[in-house]
Amino acid sequence: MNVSRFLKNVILVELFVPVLLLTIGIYHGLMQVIYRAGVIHQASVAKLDYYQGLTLHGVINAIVLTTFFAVAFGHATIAFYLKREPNPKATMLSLVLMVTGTLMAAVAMLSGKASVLYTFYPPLKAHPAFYIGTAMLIVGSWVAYWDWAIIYVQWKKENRDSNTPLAVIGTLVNFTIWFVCTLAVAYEVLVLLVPWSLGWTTSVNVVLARTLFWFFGHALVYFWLLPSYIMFYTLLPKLAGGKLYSGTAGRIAFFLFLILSIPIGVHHQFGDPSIGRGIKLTQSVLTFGVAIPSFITAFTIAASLEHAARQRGGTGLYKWIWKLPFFRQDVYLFGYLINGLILFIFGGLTGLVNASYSLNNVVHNTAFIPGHFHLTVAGPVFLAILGMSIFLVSQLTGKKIFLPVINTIIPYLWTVGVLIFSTGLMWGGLMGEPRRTNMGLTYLNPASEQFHSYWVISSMLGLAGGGIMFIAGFLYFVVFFGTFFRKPSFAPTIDFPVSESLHPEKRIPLFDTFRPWLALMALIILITYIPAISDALNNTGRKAPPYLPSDPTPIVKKK
Amino acid sequence: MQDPNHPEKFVPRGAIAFFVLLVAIGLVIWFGIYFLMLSRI
Amino acid sequence: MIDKFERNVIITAFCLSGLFIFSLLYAMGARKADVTECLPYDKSYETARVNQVDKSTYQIFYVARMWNFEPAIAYIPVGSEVDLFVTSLDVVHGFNIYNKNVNLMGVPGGVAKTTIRFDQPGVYKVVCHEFCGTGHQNMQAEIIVNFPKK
Repeated sequence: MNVSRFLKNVILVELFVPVLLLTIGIYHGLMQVIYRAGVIHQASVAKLDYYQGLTLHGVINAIVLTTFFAVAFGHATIAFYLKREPNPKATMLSLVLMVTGTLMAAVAMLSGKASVLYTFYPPLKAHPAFYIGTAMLIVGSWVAYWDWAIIYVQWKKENRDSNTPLAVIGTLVNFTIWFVCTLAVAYEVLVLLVPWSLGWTTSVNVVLARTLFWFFGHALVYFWLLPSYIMFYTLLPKLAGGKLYSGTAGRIAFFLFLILSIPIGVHHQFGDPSIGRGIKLTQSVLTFGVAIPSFITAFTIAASLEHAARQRGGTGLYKWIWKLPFFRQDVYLFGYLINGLILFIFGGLTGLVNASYSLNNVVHNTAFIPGHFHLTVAGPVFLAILGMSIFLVSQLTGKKIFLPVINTIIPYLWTVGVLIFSTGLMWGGLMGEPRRTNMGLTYLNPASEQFHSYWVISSMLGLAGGGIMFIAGFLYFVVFFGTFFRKPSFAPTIDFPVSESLHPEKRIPLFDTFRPWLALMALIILITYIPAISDALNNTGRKAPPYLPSDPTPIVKKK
Repeated sequence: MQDPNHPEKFVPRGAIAFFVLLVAIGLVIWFGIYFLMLSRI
Repeated sequence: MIDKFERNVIITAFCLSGLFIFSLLYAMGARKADVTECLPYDKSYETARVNQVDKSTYQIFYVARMWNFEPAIAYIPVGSEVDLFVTSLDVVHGFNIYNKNVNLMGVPGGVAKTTIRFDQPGVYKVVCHEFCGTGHQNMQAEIIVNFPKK
């Protein structure tokens, strides 16, 4: 379908800005494996400190890129499936807020005044611009969401008896989760941290801030993941040459995510004091619930791909797999998505370990955690973003892909890299290797008395995998910018491959409405989070003044 | 049995095998770390 | 309403979760494998010390600050059961004992507690695993289990 010049430019800016910043994020990814493996024993390289680089890596890759992409992909999805373009004023406001906020946060981080990592746990204090910038980025994404919600409600009024397209359900579920969970982090940032970082308030309740952060922090991973899930359900079967095995299963999966994505955040705080064991166990059990939609998805997509392969003449229990279009240039998106799914097998299963109550003692805050989440956020999430960003840029500008052969092998190279990298990190983590640590200075510095020989091989594996990931990332930039800046050769368009359902499916009203699910979502969140917040308020003995990362004495306001 | 032109007869045998494998890998990973945890008490 | 294979997948996923939950409850009941205990906070936790409660029971009160733990070295006899308490005087710190089921957060205004047995002699390294500022990678402590020497 045709898109207006305005919407086309908005989507292109929302892809270009984060991918440009991603060059910084990926550079720091490479630097970290080099520091951590003890190749260099330095606190900083090229005037950028390890922890400053880690902050940039986390914020750019996991917050900026994912949020911009989710909004850009949401615009394209809503416009394509509902045949209505978003309101230009709202869209412009959302874009300006997001870009301005991102630039503010980027300046704060690059100037070294916000080296507090992407979790920004107080009482480490960053420059106020970091908090305000991040908040603006989030609020900008809300504006886009409100606008889509209005479009959906109007569309639904006119189409009461037609089933809402699965991609639209997925987009709205995703942004509803995002809106609700970011309310907590917006409160943390705007009410607790900004006045405190400006010196207007003296101290902050650290457990409360952590609890509010993780109310957001785990739902955040589903906000990363759901755009990929939308692609798995709506594009992948078609790309493979088949049909979606069950659309109803997809709807069930999305609504399960809606009700269970948020009330499980305490599983990041099993080691925290001041929060009761009952709440921790409850939220651990609920995390098993949120694994169910992913099991459903794994089976549904496998069945859809099997159907496609059998139509292409595939036979046997598993031989059909080789009939899938793994290396076809014209369906390169298939390669990006299938590799993400392969990584997610291990990413999802290791995630279950992390969330399993006492098992968390083995892995919490060790390198196992980044090993795990690079199999998720740097797996299905990142690969879907890479593939779809190239797809959208090519279609919206009317330009052919630059270096199509390279484009086809990027996801495979990346996947090999991540598998090696994550094996190294998870193995090291099981041996106690800490995450978020410049190990080159001490634990992996033979000259240091803290040298830890056990971690040499595991961190070397991390380095090898990280190096391959960097090469794949570099090739992606060549293809992305190469496509962006070449001459147009066809008319701009948005044309997603659309997967039909294999079986004729009746519209089930329960899976085509938001109201009951929203009520259930609110209920579960209240039941699980009122006790957690109340524990954080009542069991915390004292509040903490702000600290700079470089100074063990608190910042006292000058009089 | 496997006739893709008649979807109502399509039995996703491969996908079922994949799902069984997925559950098996899950059990190995999870219980591997479970027993590691018990050994460290 | 839903495909029968999809239904079986959902049932299998529930059974798998049930098995995992049962195993966790078993470990909690039979082997006392648990997460941090929730204790009310008071000022006494801000003083680092090692207490001997009886012949084979000890308490270590750890105080974390940028960038060291106190006590930096604790001596414990082989075969003792130790209650560990961790708090922080400044920012958030982590507390992980190498090869042991101890993984706590040191948070200002809160105290994390767990109990662990040391049956094997050795030097147990404690590593801070939460970013706590520019000196984070130096932050380490030791528990030396072989005291008194036999």
